[in-house]
Amino acid sequence: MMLKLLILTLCTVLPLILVKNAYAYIDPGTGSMIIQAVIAAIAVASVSIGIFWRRLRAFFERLFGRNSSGGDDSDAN
Amino acid sequence: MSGCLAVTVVGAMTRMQINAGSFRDPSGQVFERDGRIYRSVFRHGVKEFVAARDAGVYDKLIADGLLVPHEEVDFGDWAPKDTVFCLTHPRIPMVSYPWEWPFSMLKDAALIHLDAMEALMPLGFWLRDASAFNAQFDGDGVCLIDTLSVGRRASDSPWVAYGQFCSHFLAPLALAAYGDVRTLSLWRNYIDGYPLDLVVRFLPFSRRYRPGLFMHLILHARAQKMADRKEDIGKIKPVKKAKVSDRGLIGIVHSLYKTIEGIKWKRTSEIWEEYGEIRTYQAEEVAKKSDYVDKVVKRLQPKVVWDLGANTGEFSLIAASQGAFVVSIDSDPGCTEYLYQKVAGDKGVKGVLPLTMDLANPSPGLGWNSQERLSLRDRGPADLIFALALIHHLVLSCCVPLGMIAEWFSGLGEHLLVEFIPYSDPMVQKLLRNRSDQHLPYSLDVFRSSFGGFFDFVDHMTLQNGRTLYLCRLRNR
Repeated sequence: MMLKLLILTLCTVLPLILVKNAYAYIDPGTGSMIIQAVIAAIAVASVSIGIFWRRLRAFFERLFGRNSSGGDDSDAN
Repeated sequence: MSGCLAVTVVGAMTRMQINAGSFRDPSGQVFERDGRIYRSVFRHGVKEFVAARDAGVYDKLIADGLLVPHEEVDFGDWAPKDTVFCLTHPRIPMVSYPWEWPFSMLKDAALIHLDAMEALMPLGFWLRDASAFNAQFDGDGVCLIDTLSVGRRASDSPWVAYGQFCSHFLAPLALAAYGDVRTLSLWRNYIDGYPLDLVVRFLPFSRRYRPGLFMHLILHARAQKMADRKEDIGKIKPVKKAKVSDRGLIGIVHSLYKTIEGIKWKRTSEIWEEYGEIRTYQAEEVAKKSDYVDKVVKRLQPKVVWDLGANTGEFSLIAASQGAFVVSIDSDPGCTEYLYQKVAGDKGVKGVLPLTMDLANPSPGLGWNSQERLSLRDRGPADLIFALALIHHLVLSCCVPLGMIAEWFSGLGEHLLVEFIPYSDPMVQKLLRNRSDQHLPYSLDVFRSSFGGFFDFVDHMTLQNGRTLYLCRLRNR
């Protein structure tokens, strides 16, 4: 009985102590915290995709650019 | 912030007044003494304050014009108990609130929070809250005024202020731009930001699936609802901490920046702007009126002018050009937006603060105990009030007797420049289109006797069209 009471008290009180944010006096909201993890992942992914896409495009530009300028050179020569 | 009485503590020599809106943050408190604004840093906030100060964060933010400057000063018994550091700040000429701001002012308040985050994140700091009340306009643009809002970024943690940022800025701006701009006055009701689910309900379909609003509004609202449902009171389980890396946080801030920037409101109300073009009197008369206003301002040299019913602000600008700080109040959000666009930016005029307000229902005291956020009247008095082409609206459209209007003015400012438009004037006749005789007494005699009960008529000038401008001074009782 006493043990049950102790466990109940701990389960109620402990999360409130442990999850305390020392750096926030406003309630950040559980949902808001969770969604940020999702959005951050999307944001980072989209930046990575953007970088990859730009590299890909630069690669192809260099490829075709070299071909046409190479062709001109040989014509001039 | 005159009149911010909440608690008056009799200190050693002089009285100290704690700012009525400064109680939520355990890190510190703002108070006033001898006409100066101070901020106490309590023990609870010392760690973050010292960390920010020693890392040069404050210097950077102040130099960039993002944060209001402060100076550490010595303090005595008069400071609140538990004060470890005492700062002093320059006074903002007129405190204003989100329910009064034109659309673009709220947008600029949002963007400055994100600019501050951009500056803080590389230094390992962030903003601990993103409240619209932390931004103020001093006639030279927007700046953040809550020095203690800066704190160290907790590693791997999501931004604690993200939820507040979305409900204080994103939601109201989206609803105003894509719903109706008049919804900005919902701020008076939802004093801690708009509920996201409320705004989502009214967001047009075409806007819902654009990436920015979809993530930060729609998904966010859903996540909030889901999290609420999961937290049953009976069973409290420790929640698995969501993790966001430094790069992730930067990504979120950038995404928010793009989203806010992309919310544009197309001004459709041009009724009052065209008013300037379809003026019922000649350009000569307008020039005469402008000259008189200019003369009055030059003569009185007021520090603070309230232009009530400012329309597109042409007389506000005259007063501002003479160095006054002018609060331009009009009920048409299109007009206040127009004026704000005009004065904002580097090439703009300094010293004009456009606010949207229905003068027959001005900003009341709101918030805790209805005193946390001050009413219009409590932020006065002004040195000079303009009531140009205004009172015929108050009497004939709002049905307020001239005597009560005069009484109201008497509580707002020392000097009053009021324009009386005669009954025969076309603008007055337009208001009486459907009413003819069914209106309150409106004549020059009634005007003179009502206003004469509170003011002395110092000077006047009559225009060709019969309109008269009266310069009045409050009579000492």
